[in-house]
Amino acid sequence: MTENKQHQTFDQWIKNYRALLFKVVRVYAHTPADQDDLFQEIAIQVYRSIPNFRSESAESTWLYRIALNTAMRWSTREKKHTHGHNPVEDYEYLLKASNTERDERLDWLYYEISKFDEVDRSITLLLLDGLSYKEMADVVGISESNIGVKIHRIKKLLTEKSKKYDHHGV
Amino acid sequence: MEFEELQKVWDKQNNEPLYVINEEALHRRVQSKKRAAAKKANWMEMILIGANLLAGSMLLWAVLFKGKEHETFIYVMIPVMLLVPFYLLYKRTQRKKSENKFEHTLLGDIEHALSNAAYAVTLSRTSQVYFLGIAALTMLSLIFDKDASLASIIGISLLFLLTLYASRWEHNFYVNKKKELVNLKEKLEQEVEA
Repeated sequence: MTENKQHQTFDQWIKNYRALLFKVVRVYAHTPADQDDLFQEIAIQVYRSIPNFRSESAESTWLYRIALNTAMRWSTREKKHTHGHNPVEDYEYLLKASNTERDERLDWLYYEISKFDEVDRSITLLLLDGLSYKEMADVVGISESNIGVKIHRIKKLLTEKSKKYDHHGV
Repeated sequence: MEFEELQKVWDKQNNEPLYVINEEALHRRVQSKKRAAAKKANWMEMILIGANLLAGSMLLWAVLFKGKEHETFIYVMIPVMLLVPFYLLYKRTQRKKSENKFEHTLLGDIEHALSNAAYAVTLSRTSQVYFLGIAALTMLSLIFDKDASLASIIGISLLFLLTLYASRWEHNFYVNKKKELVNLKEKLEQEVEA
């Protein structure tokens, strides 16, 4: 693959799957500095992965695999070494929240997902984005039956928590 | 909420991205990367010039004043080591001249940083090849030197291998830095197109 072709593919992937990457970033990184750092790292890994893409899986599945792997490694490393970056007042961020109206329910959902362990966070994200069990198993690297068990538990947990959220009338 | 409702809340963000890229921050980050790349290129040139001048001068001094046997390999190495710094100075001047050809825009800054990074990658690759040549000449010189012990030949070989390993690591480091810049450039181009 030529470098030019790699650049073109990268452009196209970032443009088409930007929302997917942003979701992964928000699930795994919580401060603006961390989100910036993780987004940059994921983008670099996506770029490097392009020559290895063989069209055996959907592009979105491939990107989920790269992004989630990077996010999980990043998350582990950050916990081990720095416990995350603290916000710095004069730091200028690469990513900033868009001006679209915030949906508190979405904030709540992200907050709840962020409390899961690394693997469950990934599965929840894939579940909410409508991937099949097989696709999820391909991305995460565990069996479809295991995915089924985890999904059942995640759905139950999120539904119960959402009922409490409703009762508080937020 | 039932899970289907959660799904609807989740799906809302597909049409409205959560973030936009802060172009000003990106600009500053690119400038910072550009300065770092220029500093590294500068540092590499100085190290290579200094090391070659020092090693070449020491060999010359050994031949002229220490009565070292006049071996062909040393005669080859001395002029090479003393001429390489001039070649490096010429390349450095060319690099400095090319610095003004870039536009003062975000994209121009990235191009500039990329140019410096590409220069560092080429320089480190050329240094590796050059180093292999010098190592080969040194080893040949030692092998044909009747006074050189087997232990010294093995010791120097190991030293060369270690240096080669370190230079490969250094080269990969510059290659990765260059890739990061390429990545930044692509992101910017995509933003411009959007």
